[in-house]
Amino acid sequence: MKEFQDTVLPLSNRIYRFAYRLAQNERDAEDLVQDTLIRAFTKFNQYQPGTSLLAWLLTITRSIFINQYRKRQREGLQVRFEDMDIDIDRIAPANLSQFSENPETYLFQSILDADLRRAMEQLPLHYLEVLILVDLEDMSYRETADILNIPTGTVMSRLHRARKSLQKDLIELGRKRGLIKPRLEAVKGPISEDEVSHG
Amino acid sequence: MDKTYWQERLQAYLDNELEPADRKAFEQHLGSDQDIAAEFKFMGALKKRLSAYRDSVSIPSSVEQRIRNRFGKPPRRFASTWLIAASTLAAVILVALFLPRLNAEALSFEHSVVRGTISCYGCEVAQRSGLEQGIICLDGHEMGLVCANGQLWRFASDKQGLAIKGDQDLYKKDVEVSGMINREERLIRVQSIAPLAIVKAGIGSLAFNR
Repeated sequence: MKEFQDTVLPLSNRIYRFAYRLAQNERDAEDLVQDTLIRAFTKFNQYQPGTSLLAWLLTITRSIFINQYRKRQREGLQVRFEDMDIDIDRIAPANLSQFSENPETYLFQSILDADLRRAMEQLPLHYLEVLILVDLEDMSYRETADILNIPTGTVMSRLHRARKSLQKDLIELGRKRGLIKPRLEAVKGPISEDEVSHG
Repeated sequence: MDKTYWQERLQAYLDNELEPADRKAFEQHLGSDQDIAAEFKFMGALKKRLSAYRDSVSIPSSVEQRIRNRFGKPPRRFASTWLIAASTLAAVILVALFLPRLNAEALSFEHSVVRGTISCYGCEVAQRSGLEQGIICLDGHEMGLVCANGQLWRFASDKQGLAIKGDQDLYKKDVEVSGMINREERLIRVQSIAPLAIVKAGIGSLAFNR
């Protein structure tokens, strides 16, 4: 029990963060953390010392989430994506000189956390979980592959598609807000200098 | 190679997941492909923005309380800035502990042969200490040697050792190193280094050219 307390409990915040990003609402994240800790406690003798404890715990979290997710799909229910932030778009400042380091910096300085969250909500689960593990949990491709039980090459390709999808959504958002000049043609890649509105 | 190939390489490059040779190849391609160069800028900025988003979620105190009640001990929780500061401090202490004494002349050496895989010394220390990957290597990776039994060796900072420490092409190569070693400090003064496959094939001491 003491070893569990000393090693696993300090990682509760990391488990919660991962659970929240998967479930995308507080209530399910709380349940996921508690279920993870209970399962980790009962199976703690199966953890192999010397391997990443955090990766082992996140594997459990994901396993519980996937089972719940599938159950909800079978029951015809959607996973709740509660919109917890007030939907306020940031107004582009009149003086843009401070943002003009480069177009990407300008765009991303205008993107709110809620914007990112909404864009991530649009991702299919198998892209979302790779993005969370690599970009938000700082896992290596190897660790991510182990947690998801997929080859590292698949991690790389899913990550590429996940980020491309975010890129598309965020550029679209930038256009809607007038941060990027609207164009008739489809969004097909990164923004360039002449696409950014400078006031 | 098609565009998707380079786009996926781009992601792996940003995540520091490419082997040194692949990094070089990507960097060369980056200079000759404007689309990839533009995408590189965007994806770099996206990754930076996602990093900033990372710590926007933390466990609510009510959940902490429930865990405390259930498991009998409060989880240690730090604000992210404190976590970074503590990790950095831990890294500094660990490096200080792990690093062999600077004055190698004061150590006693014996001649020996060590076999293992070239790896980044700082990354190995970080990984073994549960620290954030790369936190010790902010100024660049420095090669060390990991033996099959898990022992981590560091190369002495003489001419030969410095050349090996800075040679990222050796990364993940299985090698046999011959030289003077100090077991206590796990420090090697390299006399020769050769690919293990060549040594095992009995081709002789065809050392890496350096």
